[in-house]
Amino acid sequence: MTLHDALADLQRPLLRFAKLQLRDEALAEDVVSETLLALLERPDSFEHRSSLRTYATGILKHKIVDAVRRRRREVSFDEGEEAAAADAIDGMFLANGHWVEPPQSWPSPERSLEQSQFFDVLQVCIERLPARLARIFMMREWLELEPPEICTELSITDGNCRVMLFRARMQLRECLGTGWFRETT
Amino acid sequence: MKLDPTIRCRQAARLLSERLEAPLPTGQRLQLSGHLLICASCRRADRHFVFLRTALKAMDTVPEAPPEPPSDAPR
Repeated sequence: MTLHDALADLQRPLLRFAKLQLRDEALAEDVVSETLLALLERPDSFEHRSSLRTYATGILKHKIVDAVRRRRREVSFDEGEEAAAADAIDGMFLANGHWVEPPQSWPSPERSLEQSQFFDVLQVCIERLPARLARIFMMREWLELEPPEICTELSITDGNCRVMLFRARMQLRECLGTGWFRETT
Repeated sequence: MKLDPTIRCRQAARLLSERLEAPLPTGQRLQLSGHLLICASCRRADRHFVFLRTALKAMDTVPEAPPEPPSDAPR
């Protein structure tokens, strides 16, 4: 397989990540192109690496962090959507603070990590989050940024950041529970 | 050390999420530990939150969907 073929195969998975994180098709295509170009321009830099994909994903993450920084002031978000996310949490608990639908146990979840279908469901669940929740969650868990850095990049307070991560985790937990692990109530 | 089981699931879930960002202050740690001792639902939520983190880390190496099986049918 030539380098060009290998890079062409990478384009689709990289684009999937970039779209999930950036929620902007054109921007996502830009960062993926930049990533592939960076690889093409320095082919010797990954010659001896076991996984081109892991290496490319690492570069993509840096490009995405740069893109997030550049457009910090352009971030738009939908307040209605976010209010709905807050309501969703309210709907998960009774007035006395107990779970409306207590979490059920997920049978051998680690085996899901070997199945590509699991990641399709995870991706759909992330896409269903309000845009800003998804972006913050991906910054935290996929780009592995620390909360203070996320606050600074998005100009939000630390408390706000934590609340949004909580909402994202709650919604994703519920979405995976019903959509993949078949939790029943 | 006295465990303090005074928080409810809603606050416990919030603390479970917060401790994935940074270690909790002692008071909250005691409250959360006390709650988890008596609440199986929140113990599950804890495992699910931690699993979410693991899953996101595993995303980079997602196995691609297997290609369509070759067809044996004559053309």
